[in-house]
Amino acid sequence: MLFNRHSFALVALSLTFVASADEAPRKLPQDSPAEPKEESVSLVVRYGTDQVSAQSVESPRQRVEVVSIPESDAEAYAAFLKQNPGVLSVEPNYPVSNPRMPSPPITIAPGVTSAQSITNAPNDPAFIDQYAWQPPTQQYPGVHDILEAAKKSPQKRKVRIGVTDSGFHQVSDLVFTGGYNFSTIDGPGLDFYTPQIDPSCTDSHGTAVAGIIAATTNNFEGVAGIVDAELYAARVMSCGTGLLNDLATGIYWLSGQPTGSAPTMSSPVDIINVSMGAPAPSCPSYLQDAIDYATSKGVLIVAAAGNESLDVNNYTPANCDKVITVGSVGRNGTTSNFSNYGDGIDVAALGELVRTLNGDGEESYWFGTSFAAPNVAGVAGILKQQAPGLSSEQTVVRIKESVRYPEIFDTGTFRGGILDANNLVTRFQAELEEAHPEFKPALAAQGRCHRTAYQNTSPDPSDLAKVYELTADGTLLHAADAFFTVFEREKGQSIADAQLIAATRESTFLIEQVDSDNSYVFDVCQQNGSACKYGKSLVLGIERSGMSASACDK
Amino acid sequence: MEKASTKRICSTLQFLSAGSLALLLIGCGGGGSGGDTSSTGEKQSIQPPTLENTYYTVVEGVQTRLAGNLHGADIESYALEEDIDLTVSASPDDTGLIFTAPFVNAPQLVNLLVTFSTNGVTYERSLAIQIRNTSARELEEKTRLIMNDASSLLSLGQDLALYHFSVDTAYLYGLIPHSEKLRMLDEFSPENSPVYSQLQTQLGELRTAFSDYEKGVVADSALEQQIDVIDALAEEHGEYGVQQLIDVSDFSEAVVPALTYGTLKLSEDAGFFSRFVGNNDYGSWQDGKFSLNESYAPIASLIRTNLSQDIRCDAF
Repeated sequence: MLFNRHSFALVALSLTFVASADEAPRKLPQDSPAEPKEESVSLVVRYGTDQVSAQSVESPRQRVEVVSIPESDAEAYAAFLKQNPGVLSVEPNYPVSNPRMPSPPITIAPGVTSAQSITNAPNDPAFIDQYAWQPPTQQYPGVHDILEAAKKSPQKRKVRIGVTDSGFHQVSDLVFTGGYNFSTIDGPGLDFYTPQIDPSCTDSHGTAVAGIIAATTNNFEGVAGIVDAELYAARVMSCGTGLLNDLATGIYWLSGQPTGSAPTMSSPVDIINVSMGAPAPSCPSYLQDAIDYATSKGVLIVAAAGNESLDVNNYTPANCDKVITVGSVGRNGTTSNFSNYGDGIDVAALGELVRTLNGDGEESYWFGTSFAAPNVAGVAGILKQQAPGLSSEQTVVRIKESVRYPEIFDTGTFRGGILDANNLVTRFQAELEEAHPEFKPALAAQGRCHRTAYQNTSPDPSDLAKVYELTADGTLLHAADAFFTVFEREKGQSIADAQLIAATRESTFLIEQVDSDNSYVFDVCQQNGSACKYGKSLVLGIERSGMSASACDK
Repeated sequence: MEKASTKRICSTLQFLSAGSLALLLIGCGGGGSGGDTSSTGEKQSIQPPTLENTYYTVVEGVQTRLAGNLHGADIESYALEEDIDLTVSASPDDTGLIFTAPFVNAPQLVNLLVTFSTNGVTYERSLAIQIRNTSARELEEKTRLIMNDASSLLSLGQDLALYHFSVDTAYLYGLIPHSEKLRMLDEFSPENSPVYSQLQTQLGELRTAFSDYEKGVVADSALEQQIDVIDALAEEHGEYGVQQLIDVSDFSEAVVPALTYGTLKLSEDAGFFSRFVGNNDYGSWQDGKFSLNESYAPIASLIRTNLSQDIRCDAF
């Protein structure tokens, strides 16, 4: 339990209420001039059962409630709650915000700062200044070679990416497929664009973050988004500030969990970008629960390290387990002086002069880890385009294994190196090539040239014709819990819904009842089909050409 | 001029018995092979004797005419390198030589030098004559069959094919995983048969012996002895294959009747070693072909019943 007097001080709010998740959008609360009210603190209580206390003001998720208590009563009430054996934790609902921006965004006309031309590049006018896309050079090793990676992407499907933030705007170069306002300060509600909720708010942080990931590319407008994505906006703050539990709610929602009034997502997103946070000595358990739930659904959570120049272990959700935490570097490969730092940095990405959209749809330069993180989210999206079933854990491992450490890079400041999109994709594709198994009708094997003998002695020869044999490279099973797996996907079914039909440590095995109307995917996963190394991207070809009469049968 | 390598030279009496003309023995030979010489040195219009071939194959114990036209020439002498009894005479109608081969116990190649003379001119003709050991034809054929089938015999190819099929069927029906299939396939190792090495040695020696036999160095009786040994070893070697099939009979007998009848022996009719061909448990001869019983028909491609049938799957 991380709850102490200091924590209460941190979460003391000037709020007079906490919104219910079931309520309609409401206006910002008005300060009452009549009589000053005592400041309240917001607490998140987790229960081992479904019970909730009488003080609950919302219950967006099972077994969690948020209570708002006068600051003077908070400690005693927390102690009271903890006496209940059903209470797992009582933790502050930390105030959260976008990381403080080290410099305000700069808006200038596209292309004026660059003399470099790029061949086969997107036609978006500001693309030439989207440095993260460029290949690394001796002078600028801090960039990510995204263009090369994007060219190698099969672009077969849109990835689904969620952005938890505020300051979303409707601009022509950026399309949101959906969104919801989870802020308990001025929500909840279906409206998630800033002008709809608070026209006076000038915050366009969410728009800038989302633009890096998925602005429309090749439309002669604005900037190029890294990946072709369905974007979902989870507005979890009100004009740049909010409460950490709202972030947890937004993560649950984006992961496909019902969260109250918000329409439940049909399926989890692939990636969630979290360019926000709060100083906290550790990851609150209610937030970690949300992250655990998301990752269990295969969702990768990318968290900005924060811009407080402090050890990232004191900034949440960057200090949570199972997220990939992104620090900031400049183009020249040096760590940004504003970036939080430490062993908790998994990867470094460009967080200076990041060209993206503002709330007016203008191409502007942004600074901060908030804009480094979406580079990682977008690049992870490129990987997920090829490997939709790649677990978040596998995605993180692959991103971390493909980073660069240029000479100028200070490994004492960040543990993780600089994001290298091209290396990431190239390595993955090479691995896929090496891992591709042989898959053919069992009777087509040369060793079964006496095909008629097998058919004549089979109880059901037509079934035998549907038996396929898979031969994989046995050396792919490094881990003791790794299994060769095959998933079956019916026509129109998403890969997430593909059914696990085989899990074995045998490097050669049979798949029965292979149906040419279905597709089959091979991977190295855990026995239950989770944590798949290749993201269910190794599609097995079903060929019947090998079934011609064999020499022995003639 | 007598050749240094000549072992045996004809006698005048033999010439007399063979021809109608009195022949002169002039040193039993002389001159180069096929060369013509004249005792007077004067050019005469003389036709030399001719033979249609220089190589002949003849049957032991049989008189054979080596066709040609002697043009009235007499056999002055003949010589041969081999120590063998034979007779050569001129054909009474002048159309070649009459060659009477002795009985042999191995094929014999005779290198014969015949000297003709006519009108004082001598001619030499060299002939190579292969005398067949006709009485051992079946033995020779059997030897060849054994040598041709040696590899399959040693590897127990027939039982191996059936064993693979049985184990693989179990794998295909999900009774055993692939690793177990591989382990079981490794179990079939003919090298572990108690007589494998002995049989391998005997087969090697048979090949050498047959080569020597064809050169006339080894007698057919020696070949026969070796084949008897191989037959006995083959039968014992075959028991190893049967035992392996018994070990997987749970698998095989789920789909076909027992595969373990009979002993392994050479079927001279079929031309290879088999427990199946000629065994009534499996089938019967029909019109010169061995036909499997109906119950074995489903795996007919796996049971070798004729020499041209290849049951190996690595053959293509």
